[in-house]
Amino acid sequence: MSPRAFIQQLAWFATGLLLLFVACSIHYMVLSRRDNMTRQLAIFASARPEFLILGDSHPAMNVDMRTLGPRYATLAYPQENWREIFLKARYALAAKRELRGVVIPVDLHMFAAYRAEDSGMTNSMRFTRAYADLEPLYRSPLFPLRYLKSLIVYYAPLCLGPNWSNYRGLVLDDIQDAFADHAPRKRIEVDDFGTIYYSDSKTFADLPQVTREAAAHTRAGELFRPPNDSESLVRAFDAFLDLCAERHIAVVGVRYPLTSEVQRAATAYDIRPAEEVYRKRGPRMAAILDYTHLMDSAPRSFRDEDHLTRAGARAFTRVLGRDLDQVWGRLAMPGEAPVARNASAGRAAGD
Amino acid sequence: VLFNSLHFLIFFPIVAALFFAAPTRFRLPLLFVASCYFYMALIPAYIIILFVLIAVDYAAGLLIDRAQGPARKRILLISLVANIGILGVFKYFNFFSENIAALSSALGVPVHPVLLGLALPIGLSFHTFQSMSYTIEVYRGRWKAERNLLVYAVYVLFFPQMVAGPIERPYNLLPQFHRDVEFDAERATQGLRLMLWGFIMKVVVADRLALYANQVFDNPGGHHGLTTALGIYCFSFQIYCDFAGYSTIAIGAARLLGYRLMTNFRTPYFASSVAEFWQRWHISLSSWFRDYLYIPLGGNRVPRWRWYFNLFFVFLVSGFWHGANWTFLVWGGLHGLYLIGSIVIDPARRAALRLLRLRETGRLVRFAGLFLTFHLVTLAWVFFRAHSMGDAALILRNLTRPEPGGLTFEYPLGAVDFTLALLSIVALVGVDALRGRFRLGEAIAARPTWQRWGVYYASVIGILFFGVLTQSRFIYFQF
Repeated sequence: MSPRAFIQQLAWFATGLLLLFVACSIHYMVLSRRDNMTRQLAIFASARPEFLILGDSHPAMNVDMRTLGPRYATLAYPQENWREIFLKARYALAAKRELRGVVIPVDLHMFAAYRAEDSGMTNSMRFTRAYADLEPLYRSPLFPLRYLKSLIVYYAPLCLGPNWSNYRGLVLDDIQDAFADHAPRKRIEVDDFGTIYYSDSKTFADLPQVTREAAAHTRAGELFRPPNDSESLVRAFDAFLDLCAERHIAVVGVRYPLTSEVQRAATAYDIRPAEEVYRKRGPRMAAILDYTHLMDSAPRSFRDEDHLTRAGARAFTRVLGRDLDQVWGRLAMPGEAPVARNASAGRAAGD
Repeated sequence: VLFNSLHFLIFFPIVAALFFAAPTRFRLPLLFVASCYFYMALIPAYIIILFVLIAVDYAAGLLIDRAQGPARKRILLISLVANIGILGVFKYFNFFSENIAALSSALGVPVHPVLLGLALPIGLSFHTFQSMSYTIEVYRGRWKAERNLLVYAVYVLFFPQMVAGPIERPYNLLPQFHRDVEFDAERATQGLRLMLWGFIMKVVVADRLALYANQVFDNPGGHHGLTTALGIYCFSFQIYCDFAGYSTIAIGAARLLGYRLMTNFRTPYFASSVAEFWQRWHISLSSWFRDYLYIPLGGNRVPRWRWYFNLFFVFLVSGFWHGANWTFLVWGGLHGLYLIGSIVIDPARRAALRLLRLRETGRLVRFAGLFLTFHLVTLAWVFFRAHSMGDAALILRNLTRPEPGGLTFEYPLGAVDFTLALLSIVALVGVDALRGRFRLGEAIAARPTWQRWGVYYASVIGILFFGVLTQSRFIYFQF
């Protein structure tokens, strides 16, 4: 065989691989429709909400959307940071003109170092792929290259190792299901109202005290490791507040419950920088509702260090819903200053 | 650069394309630059050690060639001391320092060990041994000293085999670097096929088995009975697939470029005696020890006690070559004892076979030999893999204790993957059995295109779906 013929054969073989890759990518996209974020977006698309819940796993798992009722919708999703929250808010405000208010997390870890870690902007590209939109949020010396990489991964997700592993897992699960009874494997689910929840029934209180303390120590280290006021996240938060102000959307901040163990472990960290960020921006929010200690007397309400069980989430949401109603009620009164007191938690903006 | 990395998948096609596109006179310089890059991607500064080795042994070769009488020996000794000295500093200094300090403390004179904070250059034992084989062969007059420094440098640095072998001999590799290489499509296809099989061995079999073997060896007190046994079996096949996988990729990559490296593995777990195992396992190292240590010590042409000593000593050194740890010494020593034991009991074994009217080459005898050899080798792997002698002892003790409540493995990739891991062992043994009967590569090459490509596509899909796609290092890189 001549070198030319060899190269031709190699090219044909590579073309076959490319076609296989395309087929797998299409299959992955079909399978991805099952993913929690896609389902949550579909639920949001069919809703007519007045108020929107945004944020990371705390609002995503601790706010039970069925309890909160049809005036609310959620786009809160685990691990999200202010960059993603801002882009999601912009998308949601454009899609649902009837929105009047948003509920955001004002937890002290929202500007923490681990949240600032930037693993790419592929997820954000669900909401915008415009270079000009993303550049101010993900600014870095190599931004054009990173943008290009994220764009490639957005259109060809299987180029990214973890996505391939995910795809492989899904395919192997389907193969296993073809030969055996289907067993639910996914640990994190989304219900018909958009609430994210763990499918098991573990509670944090079931663990031995030593294990709880150790887990809380590790978790606090992750949540509150300095710097707690990462500049890029603060910038995105300000952009978010500007957006809401521009659209006349009321913003309510919620600080979500933590286990006593994490509260104690958190004292080892300097969280004043994060407090300072919120203090300075407090006047731009209609209210800040602090529920850090709300569940102190109900330790069995926690699934882990800082997330509630489904029952815990329902109990918490009843309190939150009542307090939010008060906030929205006050805002509706003509001439009244947009400041609300937190009846249940006892701490409000500017206190 | 790791073979099982995206880096290599980009690096290798570029080098291969440039290699064949370049005029002949630029090919060796290209291989030199590519090999330096390949090595420097790991720890850049350590390339200097390799340059020193190259300079010393290149000069030694020329001087030995010119010298007469005892001077030749002196130059050889200087070269060997330089090679072993570098190995000693980077690999063995801390071991000796710690053990001397421990011995001294035991004798009532507490001493703090002096430890060097040096990382072991990857593959140091491989290229020092390859380098030493050159000077020894020149000294013995079986090979003329290499005049071309570039050729010699590429001999030591040749990237497919520089970090984990096969440990080449000058008479096999050096002449190939003097020949012009033309592109040969059939040879390139062979090379690619070998590389594909090597990747399957490493990524699909070895790395998956590692998930289970590591659980037992990293937590020796946490498992017992069947779990421990399965963990040990998993390691036995893991190390085979890891190392043979590397060698196969290396041989395939070299073949594609037009160079033929020596065979390093020949279905070792089909050996029916430990002696046969060493003719099939890491052949380039075992033959190195045979040619440059065992035979110079007298081999088996000495009194019987001395023969036993030679065997034991060579395997002890072989163990020490693998790592500066008592576990490796015990591993090597065990293999030495196996061989001595097999020689000692051989007359009794033959007598028993005669009594039972069994033929040496009969299936039953071969299978019994294979079964026993595999388990002896696997038992020795416990010491090879254990972090310490204490761990090895604990693993062996726990092996005899039944596991209450079934297997205690965690399933990092799910229960299906554990089944796949076990199936991959069966598949590997099946392929090795086929390779023992006929040339599998040639059999595939002889099939029509659609069948051939079907096998290749299935292999790629197998790697992508069933491979563990995290870049885990090859075990033998540490040596």
